[in-house]
Amino acid sequence: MKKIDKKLEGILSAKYRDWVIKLEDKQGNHNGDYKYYYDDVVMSLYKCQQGVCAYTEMHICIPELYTDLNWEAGRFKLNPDIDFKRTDHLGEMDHYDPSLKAEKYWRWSNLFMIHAKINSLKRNTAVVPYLKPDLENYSPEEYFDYDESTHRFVPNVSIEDENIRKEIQHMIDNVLFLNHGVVQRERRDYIQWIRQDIRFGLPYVVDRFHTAVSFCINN
Amino acid sequence: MKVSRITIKDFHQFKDLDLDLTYPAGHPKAGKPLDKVCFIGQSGTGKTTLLEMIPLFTSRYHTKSFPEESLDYINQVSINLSYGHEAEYNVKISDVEQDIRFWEVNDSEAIYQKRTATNQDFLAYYKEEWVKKVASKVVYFPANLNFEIDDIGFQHYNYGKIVDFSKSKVSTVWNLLLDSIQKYQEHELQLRQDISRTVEHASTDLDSIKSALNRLEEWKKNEFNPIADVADNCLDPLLANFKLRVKREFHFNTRGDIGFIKIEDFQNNEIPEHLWSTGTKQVVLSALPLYLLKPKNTIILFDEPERSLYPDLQRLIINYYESLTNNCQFFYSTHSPVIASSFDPWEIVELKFNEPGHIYREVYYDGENHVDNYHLNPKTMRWDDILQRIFDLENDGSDFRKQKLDELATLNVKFRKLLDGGEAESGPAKALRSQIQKLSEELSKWD
Repeated sequence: MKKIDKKLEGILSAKYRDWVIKLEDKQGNHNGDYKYYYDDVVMSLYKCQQGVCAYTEMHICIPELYTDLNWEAGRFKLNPDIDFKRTDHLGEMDHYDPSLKAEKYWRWSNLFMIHAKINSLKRNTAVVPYLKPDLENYSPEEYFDYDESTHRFVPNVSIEDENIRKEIQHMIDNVLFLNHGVVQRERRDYIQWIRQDIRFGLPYVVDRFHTAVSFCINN
Repeated sequence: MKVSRITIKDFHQFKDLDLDLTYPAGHPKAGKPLDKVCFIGQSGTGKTTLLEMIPLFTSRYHTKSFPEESLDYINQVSINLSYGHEAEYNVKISDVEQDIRFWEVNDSEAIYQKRTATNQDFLAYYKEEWVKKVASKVVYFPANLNFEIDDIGFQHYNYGKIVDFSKSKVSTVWNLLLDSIQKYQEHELQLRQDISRTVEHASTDLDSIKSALNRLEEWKKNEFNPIADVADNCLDPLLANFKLRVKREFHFNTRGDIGFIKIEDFQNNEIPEHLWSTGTKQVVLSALPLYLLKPKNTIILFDEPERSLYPDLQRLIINYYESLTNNCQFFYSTHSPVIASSFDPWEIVELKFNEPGHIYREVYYDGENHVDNYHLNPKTMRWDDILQRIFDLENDGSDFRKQKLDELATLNVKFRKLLDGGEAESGPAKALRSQIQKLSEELSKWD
């Protein structure tokens, strides 16, 4: 749910990028090619998302898989020297707006890597468009608040429009699964670890739950 | 006899399902069939069908899922079976036509077996030695155990190809014990009559009376008492949870008077059968068969073993059942996180629907199937964590609790913002603090 920079121009899979651009311009034929580029899309998304689930921000992919070293001639090619398989991650590809899945399944801007369990829960649930994490003007702080005591996300308390609050709550509960028991507990434990590192004066790197950490630690 | 693999090509909701039921790499028994397997999954994922697949192939036994006339599984299902004292025989069994079973030893050696026996060593051994002399019959405890206490008194109760408690009443196992109970009671009666006679004929001969009494005491001390044995070694440790125990003393005139096992409370009040709780029945009628049948080298199938059992008992029964048997493989199907916590992660077969509605197995390891690569372990997880991570329950309580937690989180954020704005002592902040306190107490009281 943190903001994700997914500008197509910046992605590592040049071949896939060209193919999608042609499709968007209605010049290309997409029959079957989508599967051909599957790993390219997965690893490009992981690169943009820095290995975390686009919704829950759980860590779902190790950097060794989406590193720049695994690309050759604009295509994903796993470095044979590393000890991992291309499938050694916990994510699945999600079509943010499920209504686009049938006709525009290849659309880059609608794709995110999310935790497989979250994907199985989300299924084809309707989404609100303004909470798509790669939108130009998207900012999680505008829509969400985080309570450090219960470790739950809630709609930003400054939003007064009840309908918008309901929409955000719907997204928290049924699309992003931000307060799913497992997610909430892992996030709480992670924040507690960081707090401990801070208390002991140890260096720390935030590699997941960026939004919640930002609410709790940086503010 | 143990199943090491179940493979299903296309059968109802199953499509290209391959269940490896062996220990993973890095385990002392790596590659050998699992001693126990636990099927979990949403209703409709085929747990019972998988259980009932096993006697179909081990014993040509037809259950509800596979009636005599069923043909749809033919050529679609195979199981790998390991048997022999050293598990030296490993076969893959599949039905290629209704009456033609295919036994495959390895890729180079395969035979067709019609209903008539063949001379193949491994098959002859299975049919003539293994099933008849070495291994006990497969035992099946269905989800709806027949609790009726009936069919008692048949000297030679016949279970058929397997011991199927969806068809036979569980109380029939009592017949296995009736003879020895009767002999024990008759002998006791005889000794008591000796005492009476001694008293009658020589009421002043205290030495003779004492000697007769000693004979009874000595006999009681040394003679195997079948009821005490069942009580001490099977039922009393479990019944103690209900403040009950097996009644050890009872009187009868004929074999028919013995009836079924009697239960009493700790004040010696007998509890009539019709007043046994379903939990008591479940405990008695699942543990007793395993104790009395003494299964060995066979397969035991349990559908929903948690039925009617309080969680504290669910915690114990899996290891307990195992302790009553000898070299058996157990298959369980359950919806209970407490039952699931008795299993290593490689023993759990979690069945899920994929998008087109077919069943797949969710594995708990990353990369190679090695003991070190498992990221979930029900044995080390809390029960609520098992509910959330394995049974995919989203919240840690009811929807009402979730709603209240959201409410509390919102109040906390509002309060914090007032604090940050230097309004801690303002009217709204004080009102919020009081609401937060009330709600926190309500929620944390149960946390």
